[in-house]
Amino acid sequence: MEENCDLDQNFQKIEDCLSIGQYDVAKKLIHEMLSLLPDSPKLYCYLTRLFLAKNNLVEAKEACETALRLDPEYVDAKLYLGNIYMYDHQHCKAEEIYLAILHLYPEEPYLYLMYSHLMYKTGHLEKAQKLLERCLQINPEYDDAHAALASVLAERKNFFSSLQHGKKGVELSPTGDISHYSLGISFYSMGRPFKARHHLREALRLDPNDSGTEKAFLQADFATRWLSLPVYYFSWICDKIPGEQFTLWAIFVAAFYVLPMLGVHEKVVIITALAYLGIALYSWVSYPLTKLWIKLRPPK
Amino acid sequence: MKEKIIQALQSATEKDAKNAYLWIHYGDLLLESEKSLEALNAYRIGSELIDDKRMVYKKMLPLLRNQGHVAEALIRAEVLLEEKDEPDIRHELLKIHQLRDDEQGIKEQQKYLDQTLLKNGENSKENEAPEIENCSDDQKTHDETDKLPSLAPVTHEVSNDELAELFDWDDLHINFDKVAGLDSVKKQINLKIIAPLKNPKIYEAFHRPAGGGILLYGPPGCGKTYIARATAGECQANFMAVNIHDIVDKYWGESEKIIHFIFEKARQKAPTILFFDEFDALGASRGQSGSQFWKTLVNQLLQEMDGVKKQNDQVLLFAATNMPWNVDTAFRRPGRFDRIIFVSTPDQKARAQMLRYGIEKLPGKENIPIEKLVKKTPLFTGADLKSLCERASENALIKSLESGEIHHVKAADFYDEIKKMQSSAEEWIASGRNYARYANESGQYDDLCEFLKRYKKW
Amino acid sequence: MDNDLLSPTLTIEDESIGIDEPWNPNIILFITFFFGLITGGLLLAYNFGRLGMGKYLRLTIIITIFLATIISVCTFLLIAENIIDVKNSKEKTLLRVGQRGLSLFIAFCIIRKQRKRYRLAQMCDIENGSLWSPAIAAIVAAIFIGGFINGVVKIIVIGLP
Repeated sequence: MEENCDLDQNFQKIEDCLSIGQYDVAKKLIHEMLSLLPDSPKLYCYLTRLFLAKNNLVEAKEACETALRLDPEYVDAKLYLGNIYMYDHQHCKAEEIYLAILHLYPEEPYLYLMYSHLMYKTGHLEKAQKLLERCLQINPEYDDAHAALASVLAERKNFFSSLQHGKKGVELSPTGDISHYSLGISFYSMGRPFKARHHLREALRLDPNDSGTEKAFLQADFATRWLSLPVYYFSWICDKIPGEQFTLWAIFVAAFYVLPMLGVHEKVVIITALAYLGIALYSWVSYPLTKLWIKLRPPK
Repeated sequence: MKEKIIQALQSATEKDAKNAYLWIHYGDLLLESEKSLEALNAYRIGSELIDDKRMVYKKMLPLLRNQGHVAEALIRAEVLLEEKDEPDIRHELLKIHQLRDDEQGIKEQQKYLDQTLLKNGENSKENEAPEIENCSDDQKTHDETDKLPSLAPVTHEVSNDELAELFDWDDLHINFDKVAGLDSVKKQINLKIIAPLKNPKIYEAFHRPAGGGILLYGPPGCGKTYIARATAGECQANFMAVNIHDIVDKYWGESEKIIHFIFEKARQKAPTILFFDEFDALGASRGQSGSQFWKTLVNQLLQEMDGVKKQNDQVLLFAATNMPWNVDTAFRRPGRFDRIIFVSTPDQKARAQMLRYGIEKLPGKENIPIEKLVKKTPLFTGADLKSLCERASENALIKSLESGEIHHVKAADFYDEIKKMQSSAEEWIASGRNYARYANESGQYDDLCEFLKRYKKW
Repeated sequence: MDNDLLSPTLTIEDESIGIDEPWNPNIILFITFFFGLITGGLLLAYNFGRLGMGKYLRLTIIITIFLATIISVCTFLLIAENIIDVKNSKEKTLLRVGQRGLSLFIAFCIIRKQRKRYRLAQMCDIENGSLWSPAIAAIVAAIFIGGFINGVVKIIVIGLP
């Protein structure tokens, strides 16, 4: 019994070390345990996790495959292998694995979440949305799923629902960087850059080393500088129009020719032309000026 | 008869290791047979397997308390109370507070229990809160009301002598003179650590007690450990270096006891400098780990640092970390690590000193333009500079081996190596920059911000 | 539960194999706006190669040159038939705007095919390639190709001067 207890405690110890980022200690423990239990797929899964945390996909895959050689039905190892394939951009293989596990565990929300990440990554946004909705059907309180759905919906330009899910994510996990990030993205794509900045800043405070969050925060910060704020709203409107800024250009050109034909006073036409040119010029000039401003007063 | 049942249950648990109820029943029987340690282990396993963990945790509370796992008992009791308020858990919490001499906790629990008793009109002796004033230390540890067996021998418990061997009790002969650069760090350490020990009367006049803690952080290889050792040498104190491996690695489940032992020893041998290396590992944020073990460990460490039972005067705490952002914020409160000092990469003066030391024994040292090298190595750490000297001398060494004559080291060898090398602090600076930029609400990384701005890394 | 949900969706096109420092199609759109269809078309064609969709490379070049020729033919026909007077600056501008609009429309249509793949490249953290030198090369090539097409078309439609 004591041995069992010791084993469990040692597994727990490895788990703890991995969760707090003590990878060297974890590695040492795993190797020690492997000398006692060389056929334990669980230990190889820990090793996989360790390598994944260190972004060493090659060794992670090797460890994972060893775990699966020891026990081909070991679900954790299969799932890790799926994740490795996804991170390694081998999407078809990842999908194959996710589907195989999902057929075994069709009620496991985490699997839906991971599969939806894959769909999102490969641009199958509709399926990603459906998967996340299914995931939330199984577990309506799943904060990460709400956050992921918020991002998917924002990209699908379903802003209202995106915001709802983003808010729900933050409500369920107020100290989660992912939920704040997703809510920030929702606000940004909704045309509310100040709110977006606030949440992205919070996400960054919670995880300052996430380059994606930093990029999004800097983008939101850029938008909230008053110099570039009009440009943000201008491009936000353009985004909603097919053909974006070129459609606006076409409208302007058409107006330039049509207005005189309609008998509109020449001054109005000139003002319209100047207004358009002003906007165009402002868009071009505001960018380097805001950059300079940021250089002089970096975001806090 | 009971022994036989226990044996039968033991073999049953081996065969059906996932049966929670079996483990709990086994634990109950062990407890009846006064085998409290084994009972606790059985409950622990049972608690992992069962859905209704509350029932098992309640059984575990007195065992944890009696076996010295006070911090764990405290956390578990608080968690149980958060879930559902029950008088027996309140009683248990009160006993735990008594053990910890936590007066505020005792008052709170007593007040609550008194109110409950008044409300329910129950004044039976069974529910009465135990008297604190009349409780002797002995009674506190082995509460008669528990009717539990006395502390069973811990199977993998380690003797104090064995423990003592683990740690590095150094008689130190290094002092600040041997630390190149880091003048501001030395100044702060002097004010906080050395001066109070050397001038106790002056500090007494200002009502400033000796002791306290300093958390050193910075890129690896910049001399955090070295300066801690030099501090010990400077104030002629004992130096005790503690590493996470000493606490967590070897004696799982005994960690809290080891922490207690370390502090006890430090107090006995006072004045002592207690140095925790890689402190982020030991004092990791409790929020980061979902495990009870780390929370217990951190709580125990906090408790010892606060010196709940004993005074920590003359025990000076030093900790070094590369990742201060991973350290639990509770450690930064006054009385714990109240000074957080950034140990930067060496400045020009220090680099010159280090290079001079590095080339001291090399042939042709007079040809090496130290000042030029210093300018070319702005973010190099002490370790980098040492490596630079070694690598640069390799060229001359190879030539010497080939020709059989001593070849002198040239400045060009150094320049070539500098081109190939990159400061090992760069990676740390990249991640530190983000924390200094985005997670510096209370200004704890102001030194780092200044450093980054100075080196145009902001 | 939706049956499609647990059936495979991804194909070989969803893999990042073959993607190598693609160019941002949106920037090519601006280049098309300022430097014409041939410049944009050439860049988009080579961008197909960089996005691992090499099969569209030649096709895009052929379509671009074909459409550029059509636009050129239409332009010269409009001039030859005196529908547009090139001496009138307003009409000349209108002609240029029309050409530009058409070029943009064609570029938009081609880019639609690239967007998904480009998004995948971004999701796979594949860095964008620099467009400076290819854009300059494409502009120079477009001057020659455009000059040749316009010259030939002019001779055919209007005749030798």
